[in-house]
Amino acid sequence: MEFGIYYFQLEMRSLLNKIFSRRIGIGKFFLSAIAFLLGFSLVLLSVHFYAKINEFLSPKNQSSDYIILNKEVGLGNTIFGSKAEFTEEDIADLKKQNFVEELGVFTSNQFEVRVHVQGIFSTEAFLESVPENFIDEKPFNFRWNESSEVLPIIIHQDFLNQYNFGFALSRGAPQLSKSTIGMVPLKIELDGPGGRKTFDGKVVGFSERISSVIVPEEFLNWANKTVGSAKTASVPRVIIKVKSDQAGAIEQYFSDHGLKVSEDKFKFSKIYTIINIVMRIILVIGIAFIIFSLVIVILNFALIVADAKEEINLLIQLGYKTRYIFKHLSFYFIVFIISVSILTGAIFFFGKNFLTSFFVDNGISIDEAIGLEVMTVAGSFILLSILISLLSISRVIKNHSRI
Amino acid sequence: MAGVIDLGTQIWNKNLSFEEGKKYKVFAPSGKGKSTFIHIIYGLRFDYTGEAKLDNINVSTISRDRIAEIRQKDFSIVFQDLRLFLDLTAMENIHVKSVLYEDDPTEKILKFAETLGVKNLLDKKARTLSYGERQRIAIVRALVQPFKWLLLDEPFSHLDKENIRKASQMISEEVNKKNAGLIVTSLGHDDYFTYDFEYQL
Repeated sequence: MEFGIYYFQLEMRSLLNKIFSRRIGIGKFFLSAIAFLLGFSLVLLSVHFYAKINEFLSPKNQSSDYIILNKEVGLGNTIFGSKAEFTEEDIADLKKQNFVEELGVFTSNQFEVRVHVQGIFSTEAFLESVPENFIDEKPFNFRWNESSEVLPIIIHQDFLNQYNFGFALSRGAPQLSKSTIGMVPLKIELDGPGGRKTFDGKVVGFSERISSVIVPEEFLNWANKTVGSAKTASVPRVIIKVKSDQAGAIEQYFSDHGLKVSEDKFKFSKIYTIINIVMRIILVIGIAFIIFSLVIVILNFALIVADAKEEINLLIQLGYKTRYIFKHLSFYFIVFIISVSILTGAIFFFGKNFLTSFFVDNGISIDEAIGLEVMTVAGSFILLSILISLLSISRVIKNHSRI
Repeated sequence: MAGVIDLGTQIWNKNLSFEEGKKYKVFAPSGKGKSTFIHIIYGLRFDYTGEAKLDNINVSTISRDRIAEIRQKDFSIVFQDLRLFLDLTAMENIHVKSVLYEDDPTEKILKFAETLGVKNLLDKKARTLSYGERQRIAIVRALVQPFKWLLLDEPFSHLDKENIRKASQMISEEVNKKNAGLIVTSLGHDDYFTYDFEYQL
């Protein structure tokens, strides 16, 4: 008979594995695993979306503080061809007003623009740009320089609806969701005194605040110079951030100066409130779930360990320290918790992506980044479960270590 | 090292001390508490009045960790009901004990197993062995560890004369080599070992 060299610690682990494997089968972990998976994923998802939607609802995303102004277009403009534009004086005067916190001017194209959607659609168009900080949801890829291959575009949400319900239906063209429109290749053709240029465009975001087709300022400045006419850019519209407590002064000033608010302050406040309540309910359910699943996990772990009490007893009778046994059993539970956590991570990830596009398609533009609060909750939940399972193992071992 | 026990009928209700290096027999018919007595000394049960002391320390006050150390280094035992892991092989059952020590026990195990005629059974699961075979495996398991006391609770109940002779001779050798104490429980008269003291329970 060959026994070879003796690696006593390794041998001890494999012996203990043999002793406990009969008692602690994978099947026994099944119930815990399901409770753990469900509770953990639900909590992570609700924390994630709670945070995202709160972020979305926070004041900086509400369009009510921003007002887009244009000069009233009157009969004179039509007959004499004078343009309803802001002069430098107009802007300087506006800037001086108390109620104006910030002011940004719109730059518009000074050349012809055609947009082609391959095989489906081709239209005359216009482009505008505003200073970046006036864009409500600026995507990370909304920037341009001369070496960029793609021209990023932000459009107003309504444009998509107009396309989907006004155009696509009648033409039998495919309808597009917010998440799929980014995949549609656009050709943007500029034609002006400086020649003709074509760019690949891509819709990268939607704005609620600005009813226009927005491109990066760098692009429009560059294009106006190279393609457009040389004369100074006109300012058709301005966007201002107002102090909300000065509604009276604002209205007075606007009517005195023939200014028109070009966008309704569409308020989602009712919807926001409902969503907020729903999210809170989901969060509460998630927390209840997590408590339930922790309780189930603890009870089940305690049962699993209690099932092995005879083996634990015998080992202790043979001179095993409770510490060895504790270490060994803890290992199973930690492996269990970590593997189920990884699985939960996967479920969370897919669930998050799925729900994000669901929210985005329904007008709640949230991003996919996982926030710190989710990490914190996940980390503490894992730690808490490990801690609780270790406590329950040690309690059962202590209870069963005397005959 | 000595277990001091306040018990009588030569043991229960009497004061009695056991000295290291001596051989003791404790005999009584079934049901008089031989196993109970062994378990008290081994620190497995505390449901008695009186005191069991080990080196003048009350056994019930010794910490779990210290008890584990005592069971690793000072006390070795063959339980009456053997207490083997039935799903492990005979060899694995012995290893459960021997992995607690750093030296290679293989040679010793093989020697003991050979003497007791169970060497060819080492790879068999304990469940498949007869009670007499299991008894011999339990004896081998008790002998592979260092000890100052060897407690044998009716160790030969299922062995034939020849095996008893071999086993007791082997055990005596080991006990003498270590100058350890020996406590054997028995149903009545026996001449397995040359006892220094015999107590009726």
